[in-house]
Amino acid sequence: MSTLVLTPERLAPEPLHAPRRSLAGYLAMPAILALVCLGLYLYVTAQQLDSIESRALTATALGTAVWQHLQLTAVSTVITLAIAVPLGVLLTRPFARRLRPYLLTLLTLAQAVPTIAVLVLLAVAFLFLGFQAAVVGLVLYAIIPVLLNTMVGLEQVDESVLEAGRGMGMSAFGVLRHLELPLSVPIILAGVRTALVINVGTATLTTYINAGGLGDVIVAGLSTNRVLVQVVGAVLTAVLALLIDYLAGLAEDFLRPTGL
Amino acid sequence: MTPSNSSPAGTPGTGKVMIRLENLSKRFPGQKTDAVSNLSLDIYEGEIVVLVGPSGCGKTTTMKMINRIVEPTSGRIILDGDDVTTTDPDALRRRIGYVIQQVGLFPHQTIGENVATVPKLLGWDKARVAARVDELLTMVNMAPETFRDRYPKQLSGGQRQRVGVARALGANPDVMLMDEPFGAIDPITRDRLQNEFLRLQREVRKTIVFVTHDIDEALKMGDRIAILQGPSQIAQYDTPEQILTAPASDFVSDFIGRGASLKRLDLSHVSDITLTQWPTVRVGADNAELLDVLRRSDKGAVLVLDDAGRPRRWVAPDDLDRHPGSPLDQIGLVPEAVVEPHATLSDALNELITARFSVSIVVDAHGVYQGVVDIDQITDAIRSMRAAAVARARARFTEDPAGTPVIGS
Ligand SMILES: Nc1ncnc2c1ncn2[C@@H]1O[C@H](COP(=O)(O)OP(=O)(O)OP(=O)(O)O)[C@@H](O)[C@H]1O
Ligand SMILES: [Mg+2]
Repeated sequence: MSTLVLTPERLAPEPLHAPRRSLAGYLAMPAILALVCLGLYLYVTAQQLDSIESRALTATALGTAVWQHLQLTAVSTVITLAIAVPLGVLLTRPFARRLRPYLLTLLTLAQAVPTIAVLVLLAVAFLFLGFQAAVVGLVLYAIIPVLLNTMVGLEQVDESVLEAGRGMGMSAFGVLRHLELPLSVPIILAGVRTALVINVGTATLTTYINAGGLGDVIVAGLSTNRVLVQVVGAVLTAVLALLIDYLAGLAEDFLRPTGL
Repeated sequence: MTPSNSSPAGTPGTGKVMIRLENLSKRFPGQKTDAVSNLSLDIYEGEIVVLVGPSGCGKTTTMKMINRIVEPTSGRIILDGDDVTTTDPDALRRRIGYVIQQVGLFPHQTIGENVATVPKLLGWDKARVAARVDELLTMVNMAPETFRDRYPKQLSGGQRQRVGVARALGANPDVMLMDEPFGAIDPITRDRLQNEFLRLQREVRKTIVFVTHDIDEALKMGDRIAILQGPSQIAQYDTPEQILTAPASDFVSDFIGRGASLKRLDLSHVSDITLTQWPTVRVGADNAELLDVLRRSDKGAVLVLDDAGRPRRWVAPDDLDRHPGSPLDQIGLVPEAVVEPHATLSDALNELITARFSVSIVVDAHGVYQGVVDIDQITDAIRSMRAAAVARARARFTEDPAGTPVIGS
């Protein structure tokens, strides 16, 4: 090998990306949410609760509702991903080019139908109730953003990068696995975040088909006309949504491949 | 017509055909005409073959058919004796280095990982891959310790191009395809990368297919140049010298543009011509000796050499009168137009135009005087190069009136 002189072209590396966020930036959201919960707790304990209210607001009742809510969100999001990401990959392969517009139209139409209608339809038409029915409804609704983001993510990958990969003899699957998917992670994750937030919100509706969740608390408050119960249900839902959005944001920050 | 296997003298190749394209055609789906039509070309081992031609003439398409990034519609590709037209494309591509214009580094992988791509695909073990990466980075002038762990984003354009070349050399392929590898770079960096690349090629001796639309780059890089004219024609496939001195058609002359003879001077070196001698004396000589030397020549000044034979001064009789008694290396003029034998005739011409006495002084690597070049020698050189090229072209034409040996039907 030759010994060659080093040409001094900009030797100092630029930073890879702007520092994600400061530590304070990361701690702000959980701190605010904790404060809100604390405030809510102090407010509720300071009230004179009647028997209906105190039954609705026990720690176990609220704990169960939150837990069910989390389960609904998590299961439906996992299933959404399991369907939408592979589907997005399939639809961006060359052979699916012609199929794509039809499927997208269909899914967009499906999304225009409100979740509550889907849930009611499942319940009335198929007598399909409970947790599983709720998951079906949520998944149908959240598929679109994840699917679209997956497709956009895969398609925005620089064509020259893919050609270089193919030109060096990477197989089609190798190109997908090592280039296309990693390079579309940030955009796919943004879709996942959207799906999560949608699911946390719409999961409150699944109380109508007996699937539990924080919707139970809100509806209990509504039907018994207890504002305090409604407020507790609503605030907890909001806190949960913000928390999940925050966690998804963390995932986006840390799962983004270095170098992008 | 049977393509000839002989590689004309003066090119570095072994004369063995490394890549043979036989009647290759490509029509893209939905197009009415071929992008490349019935093209045949022999590419010799160890040579840089440049495909050059106006935009849209099918250079990129031709090159991409060699590694089947573009699948030919018809025709055959023979690589090192094997017909690879229908073999496994992934295996084929691992045998061929590929550099594209946009470089296409993987942004989420470090420079080291990028360069390791093909060795990893071939299943080399970790230690061997790591050693190869460092070797390749060193080869393209990038200190491995500094650059191995950086990401493409942290490099300048020129550095990325070099990494692209290193990556293509990954598993030491015999053949490299390069599509305008130095296209989007400022002229100074490009010139440097070209020189580095030529130096690297002198070591690695790959068979290289190089695409450019810039005739000057083609003349500089190519051992042989194929000038493409539209989808179905190679206007000329020849050495740069031959193309410049005996363009095969008006299209070729137009494509070369004005100044072909001047460009030709870039391709010949001072060492290729016989130098003339100028009257010289050593520093210690006395005035009488100097005047005597001068009288026996038809020149107006003497070149004074130091004891090691290096040119020191031009001294004319006037200088002796004006500074009586001064040592010879302190009077007269310092010679400025000095070139070494590896300089091109163009460099020599450039120097002598402004030089005193209209000559360039030629010295060897130690600065020792060898002779001088004047304008007459350069015009003689141009004339004899042209005569030789015309004779070669004529000889080839009478031998084979269908054209040069490599042009397909
Ligand atoms: N994927 C494609 N689909 C359809 N036509 C194409 C495609 N790629 C190239 N062509 C056409 O084929 C012809 C040759 O293109 P090619 O890219 O080989 O030209 P080129 O000589 O490399 O030009 P340039 O110097 O501009 O890069 C052009 O007319 C171009 O429009
Ligand atoms: Mg091109």
